[in-house]
Amino acid sequence: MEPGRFSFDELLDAFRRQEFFLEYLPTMRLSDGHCVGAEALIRWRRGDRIVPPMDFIPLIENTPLSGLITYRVGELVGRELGPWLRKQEDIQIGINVTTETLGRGSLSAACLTFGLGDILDKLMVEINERGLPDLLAMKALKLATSKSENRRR
Amino acid sequence: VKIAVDDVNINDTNLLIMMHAPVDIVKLDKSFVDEMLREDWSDKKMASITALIHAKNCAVIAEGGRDRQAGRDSASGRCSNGARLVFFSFLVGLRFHEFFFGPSVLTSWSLTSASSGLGRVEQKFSGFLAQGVQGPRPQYG
Repeated sequence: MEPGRFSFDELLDAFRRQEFFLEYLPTMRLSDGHCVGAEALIRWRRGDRIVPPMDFIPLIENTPLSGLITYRVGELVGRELGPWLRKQEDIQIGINVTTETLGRGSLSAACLTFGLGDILDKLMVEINERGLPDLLAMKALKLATSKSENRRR
Repeated sequence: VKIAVDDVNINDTNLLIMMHAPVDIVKLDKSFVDEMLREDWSDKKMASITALIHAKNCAVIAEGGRDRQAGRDSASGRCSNGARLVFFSFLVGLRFHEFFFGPSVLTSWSLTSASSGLGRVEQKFSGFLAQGVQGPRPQYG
C-alpha cells in the first residue's frame, strides 16, 4: 500500500470505529537487561490486516486527527496500563505527542481524564523534529520538567 | 513528566530542539546508531549532538539493530526465530505486563544485544545509555 491511498474521511471513520490500538515497544536497560519501560505506538487494524504505520501516520500529521490520535493513545495507556503502572517503580511509558497540543492545557486535562494524573512521573512525552515547540509549548515543557525535578527532591 | 526528543539523527532541527528545550531523554534514531557503529565515525554534526547529550546530562535510548538471524517481524508481531521472539515483538496490552517480569525474555534480549553491537554505542556514551535500548520497529504488510 502506498502512502496517500487513504483519504482523511477513511481515517476518520477508522478512528470512530475504534480501529486504532496500541502496541508497546519495550525499552531495555543495557546495564542489567531489565525492561524499564516502553513506547506506546498507534496501530491500525483494518479488517483482518494491520495497516503499515508509514501508510497512515504521515497522512494524520498536520490534520485534526493528529490531536485525536494523541488523546486516544493517552486514553488507551490509561485503560490498559494505568492501574498496573501505579504499582510499578522506575518505569517510563513514552507517548508521542504533537507539539501543537503542548502548552494549551489540553494534554494535562486529557491525562487527568484518562486516570493518569497521579502518575505523570511515569510518562515520557516524546517530541520530534517534525514539530518544533512554539513559545507556549516550551514554557509548558519547562514547567513540566521543573515540577518533576521538584518531586524528585 | 519526562521530555524526550524522538528520532534523533544528524538533522539540524534535532540540535535546535536539544539546545533550547529542557530535554531529559534523547532517543537515537537507528541511522544515528548505525553511523556510530562505523569505525570511521567522525561526522561533526553527530559529534555536536553527542557533546550536547553529555553537556545536558540527558539519558539516552538507542533504537536497536535488527538481528538478521531473528527473521522478519510479521503483522502479528511474530518472527521466525522463537528464541528471540519477544524482544522484536510489539506487545499488546496484557502481554507487556508479562514481558516486564518475564525472565526468559532477558536471555533473549541479551543475545540480541550482543549481536547488534549496541555495547559499542554504550562505550561511546560512557554510561549515558543507561536508560536503555529499544528494538527496531517491525515491518508490516
